[in-house]
Amino acid sequence: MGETEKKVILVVDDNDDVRRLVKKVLEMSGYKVLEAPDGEQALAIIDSVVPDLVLMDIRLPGPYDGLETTRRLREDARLQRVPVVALSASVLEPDRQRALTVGCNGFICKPIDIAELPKLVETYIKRGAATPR
Amino acid sequence: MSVIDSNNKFGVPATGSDKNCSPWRRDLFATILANIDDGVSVQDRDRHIVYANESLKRSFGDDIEGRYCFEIYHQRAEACTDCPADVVLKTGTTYHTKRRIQNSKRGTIFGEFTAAPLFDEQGQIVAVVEVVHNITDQELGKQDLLEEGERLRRLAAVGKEIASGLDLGGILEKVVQYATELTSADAGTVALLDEKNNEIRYPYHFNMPAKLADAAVPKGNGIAGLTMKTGQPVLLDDYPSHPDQVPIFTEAGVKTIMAVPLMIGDRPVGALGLFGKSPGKKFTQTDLEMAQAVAGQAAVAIENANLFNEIGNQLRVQRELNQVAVSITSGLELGHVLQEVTHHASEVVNADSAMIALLDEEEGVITYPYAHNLPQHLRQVTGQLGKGVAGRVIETREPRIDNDYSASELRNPAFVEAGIKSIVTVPLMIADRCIGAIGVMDKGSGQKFFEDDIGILSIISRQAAVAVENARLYGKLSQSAQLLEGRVKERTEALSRMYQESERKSRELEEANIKLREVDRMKSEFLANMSHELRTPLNSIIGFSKLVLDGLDGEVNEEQQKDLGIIHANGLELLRLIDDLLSLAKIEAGRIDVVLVETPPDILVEEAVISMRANAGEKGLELKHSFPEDLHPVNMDAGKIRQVIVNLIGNAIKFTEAGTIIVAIEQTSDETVFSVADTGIGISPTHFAEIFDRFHQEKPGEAASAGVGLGLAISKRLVEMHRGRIWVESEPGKGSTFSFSVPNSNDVAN
Repeated sequence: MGETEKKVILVVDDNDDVRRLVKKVLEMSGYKVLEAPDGEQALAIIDSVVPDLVLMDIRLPGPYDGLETTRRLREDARLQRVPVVALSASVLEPDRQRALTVGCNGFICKPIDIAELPKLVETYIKRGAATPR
Repeated sequence: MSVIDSNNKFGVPATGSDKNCSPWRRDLFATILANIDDGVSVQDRDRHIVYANESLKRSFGDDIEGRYCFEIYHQRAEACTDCPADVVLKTGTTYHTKRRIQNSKRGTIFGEFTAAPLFDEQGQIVAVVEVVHNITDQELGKQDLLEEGERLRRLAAVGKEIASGLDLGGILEKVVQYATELTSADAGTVALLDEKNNEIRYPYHFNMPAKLADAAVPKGNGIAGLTMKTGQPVLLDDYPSHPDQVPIFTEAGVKTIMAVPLMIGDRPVGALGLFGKSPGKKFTQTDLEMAQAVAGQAAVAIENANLFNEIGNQLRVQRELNQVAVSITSGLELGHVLQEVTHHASEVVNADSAMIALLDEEEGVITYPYAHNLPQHLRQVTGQLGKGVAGRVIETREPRIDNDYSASELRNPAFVEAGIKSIVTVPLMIADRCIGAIGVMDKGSGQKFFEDDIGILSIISRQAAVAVENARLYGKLSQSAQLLEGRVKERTEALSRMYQESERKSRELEEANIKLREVDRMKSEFLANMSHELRTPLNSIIGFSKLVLDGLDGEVNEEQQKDLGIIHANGLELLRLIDDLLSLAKIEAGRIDVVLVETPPDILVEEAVISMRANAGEKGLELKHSFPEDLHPVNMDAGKIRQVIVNLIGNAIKFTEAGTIIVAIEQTSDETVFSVADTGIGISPTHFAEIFDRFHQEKPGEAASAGVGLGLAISKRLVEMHRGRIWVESEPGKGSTFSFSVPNSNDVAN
């Protein structure tokens, strides 16, 4: 598969290990993976390259966390259809709800089940930016 | 005999010619003159009576010849100017006239006079012959009729007067005036009988001295008394000499009197007296009839007015009684009420003053604390039961009247000195106790008291008794109220202290609360942080070990696989433990809420089964579910119930080496029961209770030790949060069935 035909996944997480893990798994599945350690840099990357999916950790350092970043992302008309999947170590329902409210399309709990990850990514990309539940 | 004596001493020539008079003619004239009723006289120019016939002589005396006519007729010393003879002398013609003659002997005479001149030969009037025809009776009769008519008219006017008004005083004034005029009296009076005081007064009079209105005589005295006693008119010609004369009238110059009684039915109420101030004024039958007619009308007027006053009086009494009732019911300050009562009591019977005597039963002493119109010092007087009027009344409980207080054996000198003349006293009763008396007194206006007064005062006495009783009860209530108030005050103070205490505690609690909230918040943060902190490294352990295991970093040999597998498995285990720990911590901290939603139980089971199928498959176990048709949804927190089911399935897989795990649902009317049955090693009944206990640890050595962890403890809490139960049925070696129930009827908002 050519580089230009690969789907682009942006993984936003301040933890290097998480990014490394996700990158290895998804690249093995044939995706191109971009990384950003915080919201600001994530938005900077999105400015130049519109990803096919964003994996967004809720807890991010800096001025805005994952939720805020998602909100800003959604304000951009170009990016309305980009699926954003939240990553969180929290199992609390309210956190889940908040993520969905802000504009996330899905929610994945950490530790990430790397066996399931590629399938999920595929599903979300296929669905496109469906209206968040 | 010749009529005209030619030789008479006055030298009056005979009329006509002697020569022409035949003897029988002369006798004729003589006979006529001697026998007729009319008086005939001849007067000369100087008015000497030259001749008078027998009739005239009979009227005026035998010796009138030679005397002046005016002397005889009118008893005057000089001639009257309008004498008929005078007219004849002047006019020379015959003159007819009617005249009235007042004569002391004959009284009033009315006469019809014919006077004619007698001429001498020369034609000069030498004498006047006067014939007087007595018409007194007719005239008097006429006058009588006229007077009668006038009287009747006046009488009618009086009657009209009486019928038109109720001002008795005014009527009786007019009555006495009219009566006086109608009877041609000089003066008159209306006497009235004062039954209450047993005396006769003269309030209305005409032409009598003013002081008569103030006079009074005992009943039965005077001519008024006499006429009232007998019911018959009394006529006296010589009043002053009569034994029943009353000095004030004699002094006023009464000489003759006509008195008629004023009767209402057969009850005399007064008298009408008409007086002549000269002995000559005698009252006639007509006068009497007139007086009686007027008296009759006056009596009617009196009766009307009495009735009116009676009603007015009753109204007044009623009003006073009402006033008392109002006072009594509107006020509860006893002293004030009783003071009011004394006021009303004296008002209602028209007396001067009143007082209330109260008995101090213990001491037997009577005090006079309330009085109206009496000197202040009397309130200090004390009496004794049985002594004094009040004392007697209280003792006997009988009312009494003392109309001559100063003479009474029961008199109290202090009261006598205060001027009390008459007193009516009624007892003051409450139920069957006599607590005092009400006395109403008169100090000198001469008033006497009657039975009626007792009646009225008894009513007031009853009202006063009610007031006293009310006030006494109120006093008691007041006392109780005060006591209560005292206690209430105590309690209130105690409560106040308690309240302050609780306020303080409240503040303390508030502070503690704030601290707790702070702690709680810190706990929350801690939990969230720990969750994150613990899971993040695990993410790497589990993730990377799997990654390498899956060959993403290159080929992995068997030994590497095995070792990596161990790392991965333990990572997963650690994760599970951490999750359980965090769950339990959250539950313990009450931070877990159960959100109830109508959920189909079969969907939950399916989801749980699907998620655990792989695990079961790895161990070669079969995982099935079994539920009936027509299950209805149940209010539950789907996530948590699913967690429980997953936990039970996990345990089942763990403790079963081979066989089948079946997840089943049963629904009754009350609850829904989930069960997970395995064909594992079973649990001995002694452990049934323990395994749900979070601190439970299986003894090492028993195969069932490892791995139960906190799962069952958490499951138990989650089920209990649904108000359900969790239990186990098992036998060692025969597998276990873990079941839990959820009630069907949980409220939506738990």
